[in-house]
This record gives sequence, C-alpha cells and structure tokens, in this order.
Amino acid sequence: MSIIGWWLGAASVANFVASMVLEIVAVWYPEFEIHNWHQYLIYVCLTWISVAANVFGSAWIPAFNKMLFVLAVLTLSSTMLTLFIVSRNNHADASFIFGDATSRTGWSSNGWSFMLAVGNAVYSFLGSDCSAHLCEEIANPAKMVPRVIVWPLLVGLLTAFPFAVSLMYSITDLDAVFNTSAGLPLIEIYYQGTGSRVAASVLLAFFAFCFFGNLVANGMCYAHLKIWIT
Amino acid sequence: MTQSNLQEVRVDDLELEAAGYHRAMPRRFTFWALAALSFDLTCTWLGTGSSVGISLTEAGPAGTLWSLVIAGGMTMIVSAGMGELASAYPVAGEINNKVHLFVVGSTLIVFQVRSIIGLSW
Repeated sequence: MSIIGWWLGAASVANFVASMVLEIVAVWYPEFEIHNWHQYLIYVCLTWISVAANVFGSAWIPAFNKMLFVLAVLTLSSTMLTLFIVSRNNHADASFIFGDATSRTGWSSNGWSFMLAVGNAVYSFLGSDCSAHLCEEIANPAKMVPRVIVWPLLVGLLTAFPFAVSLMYSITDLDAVFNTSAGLPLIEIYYQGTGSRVAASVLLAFFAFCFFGNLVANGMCYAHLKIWIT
Repeated sequence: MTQSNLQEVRVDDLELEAAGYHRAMPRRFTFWALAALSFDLTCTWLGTGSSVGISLTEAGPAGTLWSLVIAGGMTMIVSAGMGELASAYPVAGEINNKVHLFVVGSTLIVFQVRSIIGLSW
C-alpha cells in the first residue's frame, strides 16, 4: 500500500516538472500548440531519467542530495528576494495578501472550500517519513530518526511560508493567473512579479531542477521500499 | 571513521540483533545527509509553488497562506507520533508491522488501520 503511495507521489512530481518544462516553452513560443501527449512523453522521459540515475549512479546519490539541498536553499532565497525586490513598486496590498479568502470555485460554502485548500496544502508536506524507512542506514537511529523526521518539516514550513507570501506579493492581476494558456499559474506569477520573460524562465528552470532532484530521491526511496517490502 | 564512531555503530548493530533483526544495509548516511534527503523529499516550498493555482482558486491568497500553516501544524503532530514509533523500533519499515500493538479492536479494524497508515505515507 505504501508502495502505491510512493508511486503516486513520484507521478505527481514528474507531472508537475513536465508541465513546468512546457510552461517555459509556452512563454517563449506562444504560437506553439501544446498537446497533452507532449506532457505525457516528457513525464515518461523524466521518470526514465530518474530511474536510470538511481540504477547506474547510485554511488553519487548522497552527494547529489547534499548538492541539491544547497541549491534548493540558494534557489529559494534568490527567488524570494527577486520577487520582493523587483516588484516593490507595483505589488498587491496587504489586505489582499492576508485578508482575501474568497473562493472562486462553485461550492456554495466558503468554509468547505477552505477545508479543501487545507487538504491541498498537505501535498507540500508529504514524504517526510522516508527517514523512517532508512533508519537502518544511520548511526544511533533511536535518537536521530525522530529529529530527521520533525526538523525538515519545521524548516520546510518556515521556508515555505515566506515563499508563499512572496508569491502573493507579486500578483497584480489575479484573473490572468487563473487563465494561463499552459496550465500552471506559477510562471504567470513569476512574470507578473519580475516583468521579464527571461527572469521568469530562469527562476522556473531552477524550480523545475530542484523538483527533478526530488524525483530522483523519490526513486531511491521507492527502490528501497520495493526491495524490503516495508 | 574514528574509534568512537566504530563503537557507536557496533552498539547500534548489537541493539538490532537483540531485537531479533540482522542489519542488512551499510550505515552510510550521516545525520546531515539524511536530513538533506528528507528536506529534498518533503520539498515543502516546491509543493507550495506547484499547487498555488489550486489553492488560489479554492481559498484566495489569505487562504493559501493560512491553510499552509494549518496543514503544517497537523502534519507535525502526526510526525511527532511517527518519530516516537520510529525511535522505538529502529528497523526499516517496522512501524507498519507494529501498528497492531497500538490499536485496540478486532482484526478487521487493525488491518484497515495498518493499511491506511501505510497508504497515508
């Protein structure tokens, strides 16, 4: 059962990375028609690359993870600073960022829609139990494993909240965010925040690479689970 | 590895043997390597950025921010319990097998709880 859970998590990550790649294409070539099979083929290719990285390059995976951690910290801080600083003249006002909780779905109750949003937010926190499955591979597991489970969650929450604030800060046209042509609103937010296609593409490329690193680590944990069936 | 490290690792293996398990994988992760791996796998900010469109549709900007905090708090409470269980049974994936010790009820309920906990992660 947990194997199916990891499959679905990896599939969702690969789907997001594929749609991000197509987003960058759509920004630079707006007349290029994007079909669903484009996204599917990129998704399959990404899955195969992460599997190949795990099968053939498994000795470099810990070093890759450490590099990815540093890259993630750098990307996160640079994206936040860029969005805050570049859009300092035309940004959303505070009542919009912290006070506007109306839902634009068709549900008649705003509270139910907010509960759906909480369920969506839990997606950001999945995957923290990988260390419970790897606890045979760390020294002094009884003391270290709870720390490795809870501390990254705490750090993740503390980093994701300012990042989300910076995303909301740079939205100037909410309707354009909902009606993007390629399906992922993130690049529209980056474009509204920075005002240039180059900056939005570069930021999204780093974002997609960090997400791809997550896919490789996901494959490693999945292979681990598959071998030990736990 | 230093001498004290070697002793630590042997103590861990002896504890594992006392619980009845033989260590099957080499202990090659340091704390920071595993913490980096866990941070990469959770990738909170990446998931937030990817699902911001859905969050905006459902709850607007304020809802996106505060639902993140609420979901984070709930996940941390669940993870605290999971960490305690993992600390008590430091064998790979042993938590899934030991869930029935912490649930009172019939076999059917235990099987469902076990599979739900396994699936929810």
